[in-house]
Amino acid sequence: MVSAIVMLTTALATGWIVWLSRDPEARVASARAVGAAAWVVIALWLWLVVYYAPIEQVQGIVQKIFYVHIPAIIPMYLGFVLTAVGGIGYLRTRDDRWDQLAIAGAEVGVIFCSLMLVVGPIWAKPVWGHWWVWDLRLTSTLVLWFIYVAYLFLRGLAFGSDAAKTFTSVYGIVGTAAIPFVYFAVDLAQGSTMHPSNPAREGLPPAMGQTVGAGMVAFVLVFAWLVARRMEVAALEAREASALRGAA
Amino acid sequence: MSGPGASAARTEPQASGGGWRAARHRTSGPMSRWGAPGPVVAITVLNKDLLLDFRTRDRLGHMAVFALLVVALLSIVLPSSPTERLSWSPALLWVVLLFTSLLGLARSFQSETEGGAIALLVQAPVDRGWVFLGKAGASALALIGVELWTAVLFTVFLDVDWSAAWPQALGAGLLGALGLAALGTLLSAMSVAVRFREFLLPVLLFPLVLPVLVFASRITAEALAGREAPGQLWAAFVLYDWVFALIGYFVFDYVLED
Amino acid sequence: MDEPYNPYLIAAYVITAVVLVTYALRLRAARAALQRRAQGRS
Repeated sequence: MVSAIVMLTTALATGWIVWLSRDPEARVASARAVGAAAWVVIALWLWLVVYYAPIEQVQGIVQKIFYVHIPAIIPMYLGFVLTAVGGIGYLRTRDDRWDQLAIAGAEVGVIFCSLMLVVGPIWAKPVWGHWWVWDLRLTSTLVLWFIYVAYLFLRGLAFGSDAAKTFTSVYGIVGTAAIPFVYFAVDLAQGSTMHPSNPAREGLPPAMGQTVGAGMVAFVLVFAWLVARRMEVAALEAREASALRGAA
Repeated sequence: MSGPGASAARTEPQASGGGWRAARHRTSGPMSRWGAPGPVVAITVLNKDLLLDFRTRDRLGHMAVFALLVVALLSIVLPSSPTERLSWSPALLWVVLLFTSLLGLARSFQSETEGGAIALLVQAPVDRGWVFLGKAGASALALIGVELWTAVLFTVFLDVDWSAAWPQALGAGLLGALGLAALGTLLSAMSVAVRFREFLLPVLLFPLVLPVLVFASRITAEALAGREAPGQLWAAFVLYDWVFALIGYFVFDYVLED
Repeated sequence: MDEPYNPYLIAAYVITAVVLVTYALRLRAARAALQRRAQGRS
């Protein structure tokens, strides 16, 4: 039930983002609604975290970092998906709006990816005693982060050249295509994992499941809102750039 | 240096000549919608690159010396009891190859940019995907050459015994070269036009190419330990090479336009 | 570590909030600047 809500929210948010990418400046007004919804879910989620979620036996209260760590996963992946989709769209149509979708996806995606890499160790230190371990989850997330960062470097260094959008589109595609291989490779290289095994497969106690579900919905909404705003800024930048070119 | 530029210009125009094979095909049967059949283009480009490699010995020579240097350095520095060596040699082999490949890949489009032949490449009415395959093929062959050289170095400096391991190691070497060449050629073409490319190419390449390192060094390690690498691993490796060769093929058109 | 004010726990939530809010504010500032400049041109 909870996972159905999460998936539905993710699908709707993605659809909204793509719809909005067709005309960011005009359609961004709808972001207000999304923002408001986000605040409501955030409030609910925080209340659940503090009052409803149980205190776990083994880890104690530190375990509640779980509710702020796991929800960042979907936005992290969604960022890659948007970047790849934007990249394919731009290559095929040469329409700048796809490129704006791609850069928004990458920027907001890297933020959530970075959060995972920061919050993860904050959780790991009290529980496992180490800040960092080279297990499957953390390692793959780190490689994903490198891919994001490489994309942003490419964009930054190529910026201004005509080729920039083409190149970043290509890199967005190959970067996202590499992800499943990266996971497989890291799994092979690292073997066992210290990470708590995937609770979705094991089955979480309902209270925990609902709380983390609320967090996931909240984060997806926040992600969507941020992407919408970022696309608006990208559209304004493009408009300014063409105005300056026209004047020059 | 007129050598590379001149030979590039001489063998470049597939559109008008492309070599005797292309000319023969054009007057005979049906072909692709472009001026010359795809595979012929690829082979022409590959030949030209290889010719360049052999004539100038730039790329291959530099890669070989670099590999020698790095292997020697690391052999001196790293702990060297036989068991320790066995544990890190396979991974080390591939790390050395990765860094050496950077040298080769950065050169991949250098002759074209220096000789101004990029414009010719862009205008030629050929399916540019095949150009990509030709270039990647040439890089892959250069890499295989370096791999063989590095394998010899490992035997000399580190007492690595390839006698039982060589079939699997060769397979890993082939697949690894193809994977590195496919992604490397694509990214190199993009970074040619960008600033700070010595920095950019590794930053772009390394995260994507991590699976190659893992797959290849794992297969090599299993081979050296006398075991068979699991079929799943080979399958994943082949899939990886296939996926990125395909992407490179389809996408290279757009890359060359810019 | 069972006190409700575990520093790691607080840090995790606070950092998340700060990062996201900061990014949102930067977007808002960028948008305002771009719109101002657009007004100036028209």
